[in-house]
Amino acid sequence: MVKSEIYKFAKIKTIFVSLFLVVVTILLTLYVYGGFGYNLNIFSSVISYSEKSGDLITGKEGYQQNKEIALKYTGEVNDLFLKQLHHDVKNSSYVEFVEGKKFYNATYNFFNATFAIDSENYAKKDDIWGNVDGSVWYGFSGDWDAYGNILNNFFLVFSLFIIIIIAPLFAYDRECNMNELLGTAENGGNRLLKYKTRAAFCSLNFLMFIFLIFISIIHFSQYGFDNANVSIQCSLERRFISSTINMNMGQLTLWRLLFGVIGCNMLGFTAILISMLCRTTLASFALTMVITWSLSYPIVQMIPNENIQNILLAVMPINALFATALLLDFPTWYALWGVVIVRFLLSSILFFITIVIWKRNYLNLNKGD
Amino acid sequence: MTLELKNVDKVYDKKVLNNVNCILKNGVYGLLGPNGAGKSTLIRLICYLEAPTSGNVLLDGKPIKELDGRYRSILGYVPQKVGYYPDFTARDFLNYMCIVKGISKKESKETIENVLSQVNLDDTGLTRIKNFSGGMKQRLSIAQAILNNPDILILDEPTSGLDLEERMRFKQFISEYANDKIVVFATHIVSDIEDIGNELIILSNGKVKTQSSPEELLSAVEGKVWDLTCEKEEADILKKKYPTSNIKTKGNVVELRLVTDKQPTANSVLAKANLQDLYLFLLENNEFEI
Repeated sequence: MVKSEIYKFAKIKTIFVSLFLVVVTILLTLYVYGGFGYNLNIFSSVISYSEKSGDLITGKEGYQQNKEIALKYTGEVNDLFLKQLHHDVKNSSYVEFVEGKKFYNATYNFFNATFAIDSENYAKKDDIWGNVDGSVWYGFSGDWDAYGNILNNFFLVFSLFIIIIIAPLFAYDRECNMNELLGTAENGGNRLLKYKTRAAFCSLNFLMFIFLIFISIIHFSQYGFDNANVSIQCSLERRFISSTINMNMGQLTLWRLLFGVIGCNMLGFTAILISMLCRTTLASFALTMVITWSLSYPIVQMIPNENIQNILLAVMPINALFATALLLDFPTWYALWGVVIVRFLLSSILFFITIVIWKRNYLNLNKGD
Repeated sequence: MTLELKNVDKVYDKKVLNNVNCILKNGVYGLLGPNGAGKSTLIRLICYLEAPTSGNVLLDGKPIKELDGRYRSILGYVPQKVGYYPDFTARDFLNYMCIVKGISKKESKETIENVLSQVNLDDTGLTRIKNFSGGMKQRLSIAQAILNNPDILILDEPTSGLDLEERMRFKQFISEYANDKIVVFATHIVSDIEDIGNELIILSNGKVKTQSSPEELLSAVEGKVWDLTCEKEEADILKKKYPTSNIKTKGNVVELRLVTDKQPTANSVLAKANLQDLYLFLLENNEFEI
């Protein structure tokens, strides 16, 4: 039955949409590597930041420069490290980067945080990362930053795919007047709910797995797994510099994957619920899009109250896909695990509501029961 | 096999079914009633698409709610609104329905070819259902209902959209099919079940007006059906006064068939009653019981 449901998805043309998305994802991946080298994050401020200043180096040139500096100073960040860095920068050609004439913004982030060029004094490690529970390891983070960006971009594109394949799950049956027929069939009722849900999540997770494998093979075959131990404070993402979480780029990537997978599955539950309540596929698709995206990270940021922001970030499935944002806005381990637990609880609640709605509304078995 | 509706009530905003009691055994049951009488609700209850507000639907003494999947495995249903996936071919659709109905893959291929041939859709090939005519869609709906060779076949207005020849074929098929099965045939077209209904259940205002064989029912109106010819003006008066089962106008002359206890006019002659006469008579005489 799971197979037949997947076959039904294919018949209602989602297969073509899927293929289209595959192509988009592939092009996006190629674009990242071929067009912009390592400095692409289409959903962050990096592009606009770069565009404002003609002096910024982007793409492969910036990456090479960043790598050159990082390789030279790779090591644990301590006062001695900062003193050496300060001394070298003041007496080398790197100074021109930090004077704003020609620098790669990732490098700039780190340099800028560690010392002021006009000052004779360098900042102490504890002044900057005193709250980090553990050591900060400096090194080249470009490969892992790029992989993180690709994951972010992938999950956002994939969220659209999820909505497209799940929107018709139940709404299409209603649209086609199939509810009564299915409700009177032996495997109708609860079994059908089980099979449909399984079909949706099998397709969702299987395709997500395939895409992730594809992206990972392309990435890691080219750049390997080096520098996974570089601290997130040294990442291209400038806001990580002030994070108090002791985490390295490898761990950050795992968190991004975890958030992405949880987020996609939560989005799946949301889409299933909406699909049950809508009479047409189009309505189901539109409503899921509106509900999920209207409280997405960029919109939530506009809300003045920080507590409300954090609640929405933790609760709205779509925001799990903005993994970087979540890591920045929940900057302690407790908060981070709290968000994961909230997400699992929310998934359970969504699952429970799905069952209730199925029994009460979808099959109309409530009245007088 | 006995399907029993025991003291069944169904209330939405108002009471749609009121203390419905009937017992169905093997044979064709014509469920007759005007629009809004509660036919579709009754059918939804029999199909367990909805639960009764009070009372029970029992199969061989067991509530169908308890039987759940086992009950649905012996059920076939043709809904009033034809359901189908427009991009599927007939075979794709029936294949999907076989899976939903729990028919094994091994059996399904042969079963699908059999039912397609029974409903005369075996040559539709790769044509998608959205390109079928209304009659073809209706026949496909019938095909899906008999895929699992159900012991209980529920048909809600199954002949709508069928042409005359298809109607005849369908009636013949139902007549043969119902040999050892329960077939409930809901309609408001009396001629649909005139020849094939073993029993008629007439619903009016949510109540079972009567359940009996056509012969028994007809005997109750025997001597109450009158044919007469009159002028148009008089016909208008008579139509208002008596239940009218047939009207034929030829210029200013009108041929009327009226159902009433007493002779309506001096020139009216007694006629042989048919089901249409009976149906009208029952609907217009609320107090009348058989």
